[in-house]
Amino acid sequence: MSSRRDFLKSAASLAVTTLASGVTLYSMSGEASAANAAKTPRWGLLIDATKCTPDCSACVDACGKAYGWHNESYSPTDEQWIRKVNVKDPESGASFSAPVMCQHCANPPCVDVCPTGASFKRFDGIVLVNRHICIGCRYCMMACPYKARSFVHHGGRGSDEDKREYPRGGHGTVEACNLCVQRIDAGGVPHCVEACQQKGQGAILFGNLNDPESEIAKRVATYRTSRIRDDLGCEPGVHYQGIS
Amino acid sequence: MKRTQILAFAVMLGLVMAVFSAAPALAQQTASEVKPASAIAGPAVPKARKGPCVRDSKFMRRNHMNILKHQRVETMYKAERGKPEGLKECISCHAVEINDAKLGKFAPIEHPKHFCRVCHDYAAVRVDCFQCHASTPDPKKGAAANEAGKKNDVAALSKYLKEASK
Repeated sequence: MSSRRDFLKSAASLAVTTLASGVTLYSMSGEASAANAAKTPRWGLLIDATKCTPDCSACVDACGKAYGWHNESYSPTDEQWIRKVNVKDPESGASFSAPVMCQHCANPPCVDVCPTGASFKRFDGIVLVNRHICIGCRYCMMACPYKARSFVHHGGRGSDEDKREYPRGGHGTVEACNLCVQRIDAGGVPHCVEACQQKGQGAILFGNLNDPESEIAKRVATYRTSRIRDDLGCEPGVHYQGIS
Repeated sequence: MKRTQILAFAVMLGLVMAVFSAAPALAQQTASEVKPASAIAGPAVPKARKGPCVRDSKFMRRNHMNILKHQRVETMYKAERGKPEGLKECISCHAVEINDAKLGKFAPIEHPKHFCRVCHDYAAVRVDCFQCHASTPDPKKGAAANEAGKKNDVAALSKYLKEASK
């Protein structure tokens, strides 16, 4: 039975694509677009706090080195894309350590507040700053419940060689963890995940949450994982294990 | 007194006439793309290392910024990387060899002979791209990158057409 909803769905999926003059594609199928939506990846991380040790900072160092924000002086105005958080329950003395970075929310508050549309969520769930149109107002920094974003006080850092992998600098704009989007596009994994693996910790798992066959989706479906401040309804893409 | 005034007027008139008669000659020189002898005549645009460009030179001169902006949006939002319209490809083709001991093989943006700077300095338009982006070609990536990008384009289009026709 065709409902009003189905009709709206198929109407919404009427796609007209003009490739060149005289070549026009029409496609109209609600089911096909639903299947495509399932195929669209939702990249996420699963961080196992039970495997993460407080004295290790391999993920932070690797990120800082790759994007040039972790300079020697550790100035208070340095950008922070990822940081280690050590938590201790004063009553029981139980503690854990875990890295916290941009949580790549499904409902990102930073995107809601951005006045220029520079803060945006990509089709695959990665939350980014389009620094070409960012005006550096820092609303997103205020809106983010995870303190994930930083203002670039010291722009123009690095040589041409440093800028090869990913552009860096952007004086007067805001930046944050990009989930190593350029590596994901090339079929790789983020720097932090790689560094954690190489250190032998294996505490960070990267994968497609939308693919039920992926390791991350299976683990999220099997174990009781949690997300930081899940009560806010931001629906982060970064899941944690052993923090609650 | 009067004679000197007349003389001064004559000299001024002569100067003005000289400027007016020289102006069309200058304009003609830039239009016909003859390499200018002086800096006033126009920027000496360096030749590209390989060709052809994504569009013809006349179009690119006016519209390169629109193509770059379009491709940057495609890259940012749709993850379309390595396209010939992207900044990386522009830089890899339009690099100027200087073989400087300090600055390296190709002119970086700090060097006045950098492809972008030649015109942008002349037109006094500041180019911001290279605060974040590399201004020299990637030595690891060969000249084949441009061709590969074009091939990918064709492959993606044919794949899309096949899927759409199903």
